[in-house]
Amino acid sequence: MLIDEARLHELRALGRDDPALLGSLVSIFIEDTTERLAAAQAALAAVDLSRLRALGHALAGSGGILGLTRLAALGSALERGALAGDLDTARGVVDDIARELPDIIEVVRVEMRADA
Amino acid sequence: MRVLVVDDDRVTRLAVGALLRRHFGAEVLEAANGADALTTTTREKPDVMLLDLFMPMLDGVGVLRALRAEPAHAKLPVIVMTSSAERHLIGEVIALGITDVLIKPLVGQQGKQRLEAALERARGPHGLGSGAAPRRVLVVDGDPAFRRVVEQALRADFEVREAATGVEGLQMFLEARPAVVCIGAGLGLLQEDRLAGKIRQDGAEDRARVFLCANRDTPLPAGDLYAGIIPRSDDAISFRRDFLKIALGQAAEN
Repeated sequence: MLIDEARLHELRALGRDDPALLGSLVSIFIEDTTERLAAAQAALAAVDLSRLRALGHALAGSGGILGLTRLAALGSALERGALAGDLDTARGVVDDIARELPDIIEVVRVEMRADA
Repeated sequence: MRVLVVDDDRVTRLAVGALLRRHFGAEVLEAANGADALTTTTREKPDVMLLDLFMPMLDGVGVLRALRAEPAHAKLPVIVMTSSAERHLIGEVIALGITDVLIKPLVGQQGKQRLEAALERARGPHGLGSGAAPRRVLVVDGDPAFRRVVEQALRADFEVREAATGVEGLQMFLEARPAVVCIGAGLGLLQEDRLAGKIRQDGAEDRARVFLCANRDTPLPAGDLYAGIIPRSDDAISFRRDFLKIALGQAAEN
């Protein structure tokens, strides 16, 4: 499951008070997550574990608050792997994120439309 | 109520801000990092800070230290938002003086209720960790060995007061105004439920949270006398873990 339906319902409810909210969340999420993936790939190449940890934390945070369960789990796994100094795990997780992010972004675009 | 949301993640700031506005009618201020949080606090004087711990440059612990060192902000209620990966920092931030710890993400009915309870405590003058006030826990139990377990379990982060009887417990409650009361067994004339009832009747705005310390399989008594049951234990580490989880809603420590 890529997105938590109950959380989606809550976000839509918040969006009823603030019509621009969902659009802002979607655009910021896509921009920031795409940048974070690129930064994680660069951090892997540079063997920068503290940067990887921070990026995993950020991905877990934004994924969690939007109910993106798969992304939140991947972010947490990256954070834990980097914290443990496990570069192989971190590399595997970053590869997973790179592979799955297009589907996650598509789900966000579709499910968080203001008129969804 | 003006709430300053401090988080380096823009999505989190936006979503938490929307939640605060819709459900709590809050005026929301934002800061993207620790340095910005301190500047905004000085300039805007928020009523409450919602603070992420893990941020680049100046992290949440650094922000808390700076606030507590500054007399103007030493008592600013701070609610910490954290992920389970930072649970090793929880003892340190409690010691610095916080109102509550909320485990991220703040979603669902449970997240809303936890936030509501934290904001409620932030409004009270003696709530759990309000500002830099000492976090007092009162344990009332007829068994000195159990009181010792509680004292050992919590002394690193809390000021623990002990009472051996219900009457003594009530007196100490009125004197010390603890944020949390742990009521056990063998209290003499003023027994457990009556003591809990007396504390519940206390008209103070900052009513303490009262927990029953009983065996793990004991059902929670009907009514609203207790906020929950914390299992009795003869092991301080085990009791601490249960206390942090049940009384503060914190993830288990390693």
